[in-house]
Amino acid sequence: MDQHSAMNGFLRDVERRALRIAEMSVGNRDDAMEIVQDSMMGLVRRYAGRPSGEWKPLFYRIMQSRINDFHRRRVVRMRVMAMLPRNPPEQGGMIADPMENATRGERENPLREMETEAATQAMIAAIERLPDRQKQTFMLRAWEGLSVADTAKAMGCSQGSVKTHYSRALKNLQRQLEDVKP
Amino acid sequence: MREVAGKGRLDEQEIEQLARQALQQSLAGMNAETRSRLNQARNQALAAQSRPAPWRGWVPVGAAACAALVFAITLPFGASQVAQYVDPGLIMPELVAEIGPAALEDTELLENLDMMLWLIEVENHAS
Repeated sequence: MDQHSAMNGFLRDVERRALRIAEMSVGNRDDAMEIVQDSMMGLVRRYAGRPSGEWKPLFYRIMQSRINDFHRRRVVRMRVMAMLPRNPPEQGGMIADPMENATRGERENPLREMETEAATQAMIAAIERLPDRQKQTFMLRAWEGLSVADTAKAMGCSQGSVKTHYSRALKNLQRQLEDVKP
Repeated sequence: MREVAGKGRLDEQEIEQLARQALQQSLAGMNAETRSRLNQARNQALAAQSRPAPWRGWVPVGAAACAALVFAITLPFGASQVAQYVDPGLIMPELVAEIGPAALEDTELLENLDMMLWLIEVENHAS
Protein backbone atom coordinates (compact mmCIF):
# COMPACT_ATOMS: atom_id res chain seq x y z
CA MET A 1 0.00 0.00 0.00
CA ASP A 2 1.48 3.38 -0.94
CA GLN A 3 1.64 6.28 1.46
CA HIS A 4 -1.27 8.15 -0.12
CA SER A 5 -3.59 5.16 0.22
CA ALA A 6 -2.39 4.47 3.74
CA MET A 7 -3.06 8.08 4.77
CA ASN A 8 -6.46 7.98 3.09
CA GLY A 9 -7.32 4.81 5.00
CA PHE A 10 -6.14 6.27 8.28
CA LEU A 11 -8.12 9.49 7.89
CA ARG A 12 -11.20 7.64 6.72
CA ASP A 13 -11.00 5.42 9.78
CA VAL A 14 -10.51 8.19 12.28
CA GLU A 15 -12.50 11.12 10.85
CA ARG A 16 -15.96 10.47 12.25
CA ARG A 17 -14.76 9.71 15.75
CA ALA A 18 -12.45 12.73 15.60
CA LEU A 19 -15.35 14.94 14.58
CA ARG A 20 -17.45 13.65 17.45
CA ILE A 21 -14.62 14.16 19.94
CA ALA A 22 -14.03 17.70 18.68
CA GLU A 23 -17.75 18.39 18.71
CA MET A 24 -18.03 17.31 22.32
CA SER A 25 -15.08 19.53 23.18
CA VAL A 26 -16.15 22.73 21.44
CA GLY A 27 -19.92 22.36 21.57
CA ASN A 28 -20.91 22.66 17.93
CA ARG A 29 -20.44 20.79 14.70
CA ASP A 30 -19.27 23.58 12.38
CA ASP A 31 -16.34 24.56 14.55
CA ALA A 32 -15.55 20.90 15.14
CA MET A 33 -15.52 20.28 11.38
CA GLU A 34 -13.08 23.14 10.88
CA ILE A 35 -10.82 21.78 13.60
CA VAL A 36 -10.84 18.27 12.13
CA GLN A 37 -10.12 19.59 8.63
CA ASP A 38 -7.27 21.68 9.96
CA SER A 39 -5.87 18.71 11.85
CA MET A 40 -6.04 16.51 8.75
CA MET A 41 -4.20 19.13 6.78
CA GLY A 42 -1.57 19.52 9.49
CA LEU A 43 -0.98 15.79 9.71
CA VAL A 44 -0.71 15.30 5.96
CA ARG A 45 1.51 18.32 5.38
CA ARG A 46 3.94 17.72 8.21
CA TYR A 47 3.87 14.10 9.24
CA ALA A 48 2.78 11.98 6.28
CA GLY A 49 6.34 10.73 5.94
CA ARG A 50 6.45 9.41 9.48
CA PRO A 51 5.63 5.78 10.31
CA SER A 52 1.88 5.20 10.15
CA GLY A 53 1.88 3.92 13.72
CA GLU A 54 2.68 7.44 14.88
CA TRP A 55 -0.12 9.13 12.94
CA LYS A 56 -2.88 8.70 15.47
CA PRO A 57 -1.19 10.38 18.47
CA LEU A 58 0.19 13.08 16.16
CA PHE A 59 -3.23 13.72 14.64
CA TYR A 60 -4.86 14.02 18.04
CA ARG A 61 -2.00 16.19 19.27
CA ILE A 62 -2.65 18.64 16.44
CA MET A 63 -6.38 18.47 17.07
CA GLN A 64 -5.86 19.14 20.76
CA SER A 65 -3.83 22.25 19.90
CA ARG A 66 -6.61 23.47 17.63
CA ILE A 67 -9.20 22.84 20.33
CA ASN A 68 -7.09 24.79 22.83
CA ASP A 69 -6.81 27.64 20.33
CA PHE A 70 -10.57 27.56 19.88
CA HIS A 71 -11.19 27.85 23.62
CA ARG A 72 -8.69 30.72 23.90
CA ARG A 73 -10.38 32.61 21.10
CA ARG A 74 -13.79 31.99 22.65
CA VAL A 75 -12.64 33.38 26.00
CA VAL A 76 -11.34 36.50 24.26
CA ARG A 77 -14.61 36.88 22.31
CA MET A 78 -16.65 36.45 25.48
CA ARG A 79 -14.61 39.13 27.23
CA VAL A 80 -15.09 41.51 24.33
CA MET A 81 -18.80 40.73 24.13
CA ALA A 82 -19.15 41.28 27.86
CA MET A 83 -17.85 44.80 27.38
CA LEU A 84 -20.37 45.61 24.66
CA PRO A 85 -23.78 46.92 25.69
CA ARG A 86 -27.05 45.31 24.50
CA ASN A 87 -25.49 42.21 23.09
CA PRO A 88 -26.71 39.22 25.05
CA PRO A 89 -25.05 35.86 24.39
CA GLU A 90 -28.18 34.32 22.90
CA GLN A 91 -28.04 36.93 20.12
CA GLY A 92 -24.31 36.59 19.60
CA GLY A 93 -24.70 32.86 19.46
CA MET A 94 -21.16 32.32 20.65
CA ILE A 95 -21.79 30.63 23.97
CA ALA A 96 -23.00 27.30 22.79
CA ASP A 97 -24.42 25.00 25.40
CA PRO A 98 -22.76 21.59 24.95
CA MET A 99 -25.77 19.86 26.48
CA GLU A 100 -28.00 21.41 23.87
CA ASN A 101 -25.79 19.99 21.17
CA ALA A 102 -25.55 16.55 22.68
CA THR A 103 -28.43 15.19 20.66
CA ARG A 104 -28.14 17.47 17.67
CA GLY A 105 -28.01 15.84 14.27
CA GLU A 106 -30.50 14.22 12.01
CA ARG A 107 -31.66 10.79 13.04
CA GLU A 108 -31.42 8.03 10.50
CA ASN A 109 -33.08 5.16 12.31
CA PRO A 110 -35.72 6.51 14.68
CA LEU A 111 -37.20 3.16 15.76
CA ARG A 112 -33.90 1.69 16.85
CA GLU A 113 -32.92 4.90 18.52
CA MET A 114 -36.13 5.00 20.52
CA GLU A 115 -35.16 1.76 22.25
CA THR A 116 -31.77 2.96 23.34
CA GLU A 117 -32.15 6.72 23.33
CA ALA A 118 -32.40 7.21 27.08
CA ALA A 119 -29.40 5.09 27.97
CA THR A 120 -27.29 6.54 25.17
CA GLN A 121 -28.20 10.09 26.04
CA ALA A 122 -27.51 9.53 29.71
CA MET A 123 -24.03 8.29 28.92
CA ILE A 124 -23.27 10.98 26.32
CA ALA A 125 -24.53 13.70 28.65
CA ALA A 126 -22.42 12.27 31.48
CA ILE A 127 -19.31 12.29 29.26
CA GLU A 128 -20.03 15.84 28.16
CA ARG A 129 -20.26 16.96 31.76
CA LEU A 130 -16.73 15.72 32.48
CA PRO A 131 -14.06 18.42 32.86
CA ASP A 132 -12.22 18.97 29.55
CA ARG A 133 -9.04 17.05 30.33
CA GLN A 134 -10.93 14.09 31.78
CA LYS A 135 -13.27 14.06 28.80
CA GLN A 136 -10.41 14.16 26.31
CA THR A 137 -8.47 11.45 28.11
CA PHE A 138 -11.50 9.23 28.44
CA MET A 139 -12.48 9.49 24.76
CA LEU A 140 -8.95 8.94 23.47
CA ARG A 141 -8.38 5.94 25.73
CA ALA A 142 -11.78 4.28 25.90
CA TRP A 143 -13.12 5.06 22.44
CA GLU A 144 -10.17 5.76 20.20
CA GLY A 145 -8.16 3.02 21.89
CA LEU A 146 -4.91 4.94 22.33
CA SER A 147 -2.39 3.54 24.80
CA VAL A 148 -1.46 5.53 27.88
CA ALA A 149 1.80 6.57 26.19
CA ASP A 150 0.10 7.66 22.96
CA THR A 151 -2.63 9.50 24.87
CA ALA A 152 0.09 11.35 26.76
CA LYS A 153 1.73 12.32 23.46
CA ALA A 154 -1.61 13.39 21.99
CA MET A 155 -2.52 15.48 25.00
CA GLY A 156 0.94 16.83 25.67
CA CYS A 157 1.12 15.66 29.25
CA SER A 158 2.79 12.92 31.28
CA GLN A 159 1.60 9.32 31.40
CA GLY A 160 0.93 9.81 35.09
CA SER A 161 -1.46 12.66 34.28
CA VAL A 162 -3.24 10.49 31.75
CA LYS A 163 -3.76 7.76 34.35
CA THR A 164 -5.02 10.28 36.87
CA HIS A 165 -7.44 11.96 34.43
CA TYR A 166 -8.71 8.61 33.24
CA SER A 167 -9.27 7.25 36.70
CA ARG A 168 -11.10 10.42 37.74
CA ALA A 169 -13.20 10.30 34.58
CA LEU A 170 -14.30 6.75 35.36
CA LYS A 171 -15.19 7.62 38.96
CA ASN A 172 -17.00 10.72 37.77
CA LEU A 173 -19.05 8.72 35.24
CA GLN A 174 -19.82 6.07 37.83
CA ARG A 175 -21.13 8.74 40.17
CA GLN A 176 -23.16 10.50 37.50
CA LEU A 177 -24.76 7.33 36.16
CA GLU A 178 -25.62 6.13 39.62
CA ASP A 179 -28.07 9.01 39.78
CA VAL A 180 -29.77 7.99 36.54
CA LYS A 181 -32.64 6.00 37.95
CA PRO A 182 -36.27 5.93 37.00
CA MET B 1 -26.94 -0.53 24.33
CA ARG B 2 -27.84 -2.09 27.64
CA GLU B 3 -30.05 -0.08 29.98
CA VAL B 4 -27.97 1.97 32.34
CA ALA B 5 -30.73 2.97 34.70
CA GLY B 6 -31.74 0.97 37.74
CA LYS B 7 -28.70 -1.33 37.87
CA GLY B 8 -26.85 0.20 40.79
CA ARG B 9 -23.24 1.34 40.46
CA LEU B 10 -21.54 0.22 37.27
CA ASP B 11 -18.01 -1.11 37.45
CA GLU B 12 -15.23 0.45 35.40
CA GLN B 13 -15.32 -2.09 32.61
CA GLU B 14 -19.07 -1.64 32.23
CA ILE B 15 -18.62 2.11 32.09
CA GLU B 16 -16.00 1.77 29.34
CA GLN B 17 -18.11 -0.65 27.35
CA LEU B 18 -21.29 1.39 27.67
CA ALA B 19 -19.46 4.58 26.79
CA ARG B 20 -17.99 3.01 23.65
CA GLN B 21 -21.43 1.82 22.61
CA ALA B 22 -23.06 5.17 23.32
CA LEU B 23 -20.40 7.13 21.46
CA GLN B 24 -20.51 4.70 18.56
CA GLN B 25 -24.30 5.01 18.41
CA SER B 26 -24.01 8.77 18.46
CA LEU B 27 -22.14 8.49 15.16
CA ALA B 28 -25.31 7.11 13.62
CA GLY B 29 -26.76 10.60 14.01
CA MET B 30 -24.19 11.89 11.56
CA ASN B 31 -26.09 12.85 8.45
CA ALA B 32 -25.10 12.54 4.81
CA GLU B 33 -24.09 16.18 4.57
CA THR B 34 -21.66 15.85 7.46
CA ARG B 35 -20.16 12.69 5.99
CA SER B 36 -19.81 14.47 2.68
CA ARG B 37 -18.03 17.41 4.34
CA LEU B 38 -15.66 15.00 6.05
CA ASN B 39 -14.99 13.35 2.72
CA GLN B 40 -14.20 16.72 1.16
CA ALA B 41 -11.94 17.67 4.06
CA ARG B 42 -10.03 14.41 3.70
CA ASN B 43 -9.64 14.82 -0.05
CA GLN B 44 -8.38 18.38 0.35
CA ALA B 45 -5.85 17.23 2.92
CA LEU B 46 -4.68 14.39 0.70
CA ALA B 47 -4.36 16.77 -2.24
CA ALA B 48 -2.04 18.88 -0.11
CA GLN B 49 0.13 15.79 0.39
CA SER B 50 1.18 15.84 -3.23
CA ARG B 51 1.97 19.56 -3.33
CA PRO B 52 4.48 20.71 -0.73
CA ALA B 53 3.82 23.91 1.16
CA PRO B 54 5.38 26.86 -0.70
CA TRP B 55 7.31 28.02 2.36
CA ARG B 56 8.86 24.62 2.94
CA GLY B 57 12.01 25.16 0.89
CA TRP B 58 12.77 28.31 2.84
CA VAL B 59 12.68 26.64 6.25
CA PRO B 60 16.40 25.73 6.46
CA VAL B 61 17.35 29.19 5.19
CA GLY B 62 14.99 30.84 7.66
CA ALA B 63 16.22 28.71 10.53
CA ALA B 64 19.84 29.57 9.71
CA ALA B 65 18.98 33.28 9.47
CA CYS B 66 17.14 33.17 12.80
CA ALA B 67 20.03 31.36 14.44
CA ALA B 68 22.46 33.97 13.08
CA LEU B 69 20.19 36.77 14.32
CA VAL B 70 19.91 35.28 17.80
CA PHE B 71 23.67 34.79 17.90
CA ALA B 72 24.29 38.36 16.78
CA ILE B 73 21.92 39.74 19.41
CA THR B 74 23.20 37.49 22.15
CA LEU B 75 26.91 38.07 21.54
CA PRO B 76 27.24 41.58 23.01
CA PHE B 77 24.72 41.20 25.84
CA GLY B 78 24.72 37.59 27.01
CA ALA B 79 21.86 35.12 26.56
CA SER B 80 20.21 35.65 29.92
CA GLN B 81 19.83 39.39 29.39
CA VAL B 82 18.47 38.96 25.91
CA ALA B 83 16.07 36.10 26.55
CA GLN B 84 13.40 38.35 27.99
CA TYR B 85 13.33 40.56 24.88
CA VAL B 86 13.28 37.86 22.22
CA ASP B 87 9.94 36.73 20.89
CA PRO B 88 9.89 32.90 20.97
CA GLY B 89 8.36 33.05 17.51
CA LEU B 90 11.61 34.47 16.15
CA ILE B 91 13.63 31.47 17.15
CA MET B 92 10.99 28.81 16.60
CA PRO B 93 9.24 29.66 13.32
CA GLU B 94 8.29 26.08 12.60
CA LEU B 95 6.90 25.60 16.06
CA VAL B 96 4.75 28.68 15.64
CA ALA B 97 3.55 27.40 12.29
CA GLU B 98 2.79 24.07 13.88
CA ILE B 99 0.86 25.01 16.97
CA GLY B 100 -0.16 28.62 16.28
CA PRO B 101 1.20 31.78 17.95
CA ALA B 102 -1.49 31.76 20.62
CA ALA B 103 -0.29 28.38 21.84
CA LEU B 104 2.98 29.93 22.94
CA GLU B 105 1.02 31.38 25.83
CA ASP B 106 -0.06 27.91 26.88
CA THR B 107 2.18 26.80 29.72
CA GLU B 108 1.16 23.18 29.31
CA LEU B 109 2.26 23.16 25.69
CA LEU B 110 5.44 25.01 26.50
CA GLU B 111 6.27 22.31 29.01
CA ASN B 112 6.27 19.90 26.11
CA LEU B 113 8.43 21.88 23.76
CA ASP B 114 10.98 19.11 23.90
CA MET B 115 8.70 16.78 22.03
CA MET B 116 7.84 19.39 19.40
CA LEU B 117 11.44 20.37 18.88
CA TRP B 118 12.43 16.74 18.63
CA LEU B 119 9.80 16.17 15.95
CA ILE B 120 11.04 19.19 14.00
CA GLU B 121 14.62 18.01 14.32
CA VAL B 122 13.77 14.53 13.06
CA GLU B 123 11.73 16.00 10.21
CA ASN B 124 14.55 18.31 9.14
CA HIS B 125 17.03 15.46 9.36
CA ALA B 126 14.81 13.32 7.13
CA SER B 127 14.38 16.02 4.49
